[in-house]
Amino acid sequence: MNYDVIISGSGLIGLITAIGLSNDSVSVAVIEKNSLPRAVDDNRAFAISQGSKKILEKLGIWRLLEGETEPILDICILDGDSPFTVHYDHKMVGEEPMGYVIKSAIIWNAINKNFLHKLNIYSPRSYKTISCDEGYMEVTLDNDQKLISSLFICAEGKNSRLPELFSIPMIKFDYKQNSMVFNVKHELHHQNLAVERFFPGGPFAILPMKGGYTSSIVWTEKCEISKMLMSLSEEEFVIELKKRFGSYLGEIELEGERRFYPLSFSFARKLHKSRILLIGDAAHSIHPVAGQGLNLGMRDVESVIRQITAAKSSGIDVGSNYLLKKISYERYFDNFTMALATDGLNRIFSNRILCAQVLRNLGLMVVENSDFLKKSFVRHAMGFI
Amino acid sequence: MATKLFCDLHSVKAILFRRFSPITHFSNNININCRRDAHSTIDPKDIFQANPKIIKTFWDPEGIFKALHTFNYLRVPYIRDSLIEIAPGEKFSTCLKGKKILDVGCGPGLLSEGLAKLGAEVTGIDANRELIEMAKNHGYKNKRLANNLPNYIWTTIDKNTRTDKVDLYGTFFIICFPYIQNLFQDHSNTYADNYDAIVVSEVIEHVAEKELFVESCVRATKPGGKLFFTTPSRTRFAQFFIIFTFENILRNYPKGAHQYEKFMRPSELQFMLEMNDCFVESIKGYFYYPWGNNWEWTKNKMFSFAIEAIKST
Ligand SMILES: Cc1cc2nc3c(=O)[nH]c(=O)nc-3n(C[C@H](O)[C@H](O)[C@H](O)COP(=O)(O)OP(=O)(O)OC[C@H]3O[C@@H](n4cnc5c(N)ncnc54)[C@H](O)[C@@H]3O)c2cc1C
Repeated sequence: MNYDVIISGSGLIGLITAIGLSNDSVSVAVIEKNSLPRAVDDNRAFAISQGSKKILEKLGIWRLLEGETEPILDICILDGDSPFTVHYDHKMVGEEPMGYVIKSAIIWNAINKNFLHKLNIYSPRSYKTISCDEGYMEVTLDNDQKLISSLFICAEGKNSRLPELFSIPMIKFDYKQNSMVFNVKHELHHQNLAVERFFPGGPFAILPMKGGYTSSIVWTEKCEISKMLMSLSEEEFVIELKKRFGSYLGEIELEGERRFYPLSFSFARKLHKSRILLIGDAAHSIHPVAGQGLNLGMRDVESVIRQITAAKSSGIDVGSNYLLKKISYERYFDNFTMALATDGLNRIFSNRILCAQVLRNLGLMVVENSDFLKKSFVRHAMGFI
Repeated sequence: MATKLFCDLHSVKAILFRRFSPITHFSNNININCRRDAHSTIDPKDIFQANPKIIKTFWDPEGIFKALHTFNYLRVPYIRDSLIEIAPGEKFSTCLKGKKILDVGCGPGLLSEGLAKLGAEVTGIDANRELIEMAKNHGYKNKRLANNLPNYIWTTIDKNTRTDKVDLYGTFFIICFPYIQNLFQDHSNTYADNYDAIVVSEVIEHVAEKELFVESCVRATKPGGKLFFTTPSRTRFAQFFIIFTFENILRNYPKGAHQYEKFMRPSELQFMLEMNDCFVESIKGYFYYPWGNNWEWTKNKMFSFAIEAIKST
């Protein structure tokens, strides 16, 4: 079979790229090692920035999510129990909310129902060999089927082995932290306020969810502690949780199960090699401290779709080095600064060192009192760069 | 006779069928070797021991011809949008289906492939055998193109070719400059009124007998068909950028590829087309930005211009 683009990995990033490209008459195949449509079994929520929303709108996905999103109107940042806080209000940069919280299940259902049947999907399949030639590349699947394409996009998430196989240099390390993700019900309305509290073990984030009386929690802790916490019974866990959550929303109780995700950092020093392009978590897996992983990936998606469609409509080889270089030029700086910023935030806040404590409180104070800094942070977090 | 030939040579040394000629460094002396007439005993292949490195770079998007690769971003949509109106949702890969296009001076097929990828039925002709071979190879080898390959023709070169080894700029270059206009004349006689569109991109500035050349182009076009020319303007501005800056300093273009005297003014080309019963629809200017390696349309036509004409019915 002959395609313009093969996308390996049907995570959100891979699928959204496939949807966007096939909207624009680029022929796409998707390879996924697990079977599709995937069972949607997690109750995780994503914070989606304004920038990502615009991209989803353009691709016709947003209208399917419309009624299920909860806007974030304010963000509050606290350092543990210290009195210094930073408060961001969306009104600082305009009328639009700073972002939206959407359940991952909602996004998955919308995609599964409306788009999956339009895509050429090979699943459950993986590839055995990839060979690049002048002008095209050939991928052999594990059932010996051969696919030919101009470009291979790797959206396999952070555990992808492809960069290694093609000796693309990566920066990798383990955070030795786990994120516990779960939802809580609370007595009082959350008022669309998102909270991020920093504790020595890691950040603790509260994302307001649809309805007003549930929130999604991303609680990051050191590995051993999180394991211990996960092994607690629900009642014991809630007691621990309340110490972090505080009482500003009244009584709280757990909703659904708790899950945990080990955190690691990986960053590709090069986004492309021969006819291979890395996007999404395969290129940059960052700390969830600011909830920006998917949003950063969405900006990759936007750039990839725009550039590839332009090339395709001009009869240009969509796998040409020139084009891939152009995409990486566009993306590299943004990826790098975001990776650096999230890593830095986590490092500065997740410890007990006095010096860092003084520094970060000073930082919070400065930011809180500087309109300019605040505005530019909000803009960046909203995806306007 | 010898001196005459030599002068002749100098006047035409730049009629490179295309601006890129395979270039070989020769260690022997200047060797003027002209065959004016038919049955040349020289196998062009021998003369052409073209430097494989340079040949390879034609299709290297990072090589010395990289400007031509990105030029497709400008010229393909230009041709496409003037030939058809794309309905929203229509597939790009078939949008030019059924359009017969002749790419005159196709070289290694950069533009031909670009148009073929949009579904057009492309014929590329070039007087340089090496380049035609390369174009064919590049197409065949590419499994992605298999279903719509451009058709490349190396028109009977024995009859008309003249091959010369000339000393240019102190280096021994070997240049094969067939009389493209003759060749093309042949093709246009056989295929008169045949094509929906004729594309002459960055070629006419290398042609000596421009009137004849334009006439042949028009002959091959169907009545009501379109002609597209892109070429540098004969202005000092273009000379400064194209020849001085891009060729000699930045090396974005191959050195020695352009001669200022061979450039045309938009009005001259327009006049020639009008003399051949064509109606000139538009003349647009464009510019090449070497640092970003991209091309953009400009209001003025000082650097280069693109001309679009319709053959009267
Ligand atoms: C705790 C936590 C909270 C987060 N919160 C947020 C948030 O609030 N907002 C936000 O924007 N981001 C958030 N993120 C980041 C976000 O989850 C990721 O950035 C995003 O899901 C990455 O998507 P992806 O498609 O690149 O990769 P993945 O979702 O990992 O998808 C990879 C896919 O590739 C497939 N695959 C792998 N190998 C192969 C192979 N060899 N062949 C075929 N297929 C293969 C896999 O099966 C999988 O389906 C969070 C991350 C974590 C860990």
